Amino acid sequence: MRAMAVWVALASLLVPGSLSGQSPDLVARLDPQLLESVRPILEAARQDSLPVATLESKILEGVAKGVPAPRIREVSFRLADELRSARALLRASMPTVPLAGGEISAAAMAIRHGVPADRLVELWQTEPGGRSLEIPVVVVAELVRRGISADASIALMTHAMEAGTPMNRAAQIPAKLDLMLPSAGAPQAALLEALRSLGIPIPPWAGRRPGG
Amino acid sequence: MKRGEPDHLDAYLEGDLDLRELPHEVRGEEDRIRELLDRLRIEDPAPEGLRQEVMDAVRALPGSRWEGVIGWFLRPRTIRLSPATAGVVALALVVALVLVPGRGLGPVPDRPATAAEGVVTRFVLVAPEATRVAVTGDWLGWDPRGTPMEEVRGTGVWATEVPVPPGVHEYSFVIDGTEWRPDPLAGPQVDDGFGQTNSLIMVSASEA
Repeated sequence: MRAMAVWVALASLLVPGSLSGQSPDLVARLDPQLLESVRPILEAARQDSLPVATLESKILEGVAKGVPAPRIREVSFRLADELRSARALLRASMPTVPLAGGEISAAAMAIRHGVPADRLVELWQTEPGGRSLEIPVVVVAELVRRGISADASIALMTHAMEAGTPMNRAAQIPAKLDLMLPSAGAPQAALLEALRSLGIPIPPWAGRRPGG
Repeated sequence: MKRGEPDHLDAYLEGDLDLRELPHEVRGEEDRIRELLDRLRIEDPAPEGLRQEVMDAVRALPGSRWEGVIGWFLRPRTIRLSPATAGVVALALVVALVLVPGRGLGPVPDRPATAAEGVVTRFVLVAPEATRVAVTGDWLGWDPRGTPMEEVRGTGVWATEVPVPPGVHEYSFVIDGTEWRPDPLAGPQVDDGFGQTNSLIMVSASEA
């Protein structure tokens, strides 16, 4: 019995580190070489309090789509960098506010689309109650991607949040803007039409400063 | 449209609900609802005995005629459609599945399930060339088998309802197990980093 315990202890020492910390899904679906190549990225992400689930999901997506392993590793590495940078920028302004993984991922997307991180912080200041800001941040990112200025997008979203707009309605703003664009002509006009259509309060300044 | 809304409307029409208790998007239609109710109001009641006369007339109809009518509907028939007509039919189905609910294009987060299940969301894709279609995304670990979609009676319109956890998610359709296709009806799309595009869905757990 004692001999068996020794063997089990020795065997556990021989199990690669990659198998100990990774999700079972990752271990089951990645070939050992790819798993080994992304292991340092995931371990560094875990140490830096980054949303590891986001990275694991991107790796699994690459595998599912048949992407070559080096490309998966490269994309994961770049995504980890974006997440690290987004978290650091948010932390610089909000050292103690708890940040959910989804919020860090959303912030990385917004920064990628050109939203200044220090402006994103305004959303957290609007919502001190601890409600997830994943959707508001992504809505801002999507508006900026559609040609609305970052200032106007953030001001619009903070106004909507202060007015108690349900998040499932705010989430429809980008798609509704797309629908309105052909008839409205310009993104700013389409945005106003989208807000009216969704019954979301239009900020008082919106008519004077289209697009911010 | 939320599934609860017809119930709301029923309750309103029955007088059990006040207009102010209706969902916001329905409440905005107050004038149209009142106009419809005015039109539906019967000013002149039916003459006494009309109901009995009608029922007697129906009973007097020969049974064979009814059987013929029912049989016409039940007999298998070959319906020939031009590709253009078939396209119009498919489009009408998409409209019925996606637009009529009143929430615009794209996937429709519908009703809250339990926190573990997520929010039941409807996905629709027109893919007449496909033999099987699935929807998958980060909430399924990008399993290419995903959630299989069902074709609406040979129309090429594929649909399914999937519980999606609250949050922001990337997803894609998988055609015949090999082709990855973003949702053409969804607004937000994102670069997947691998040279393709994913669709984005934002799911809120609650109204607030």
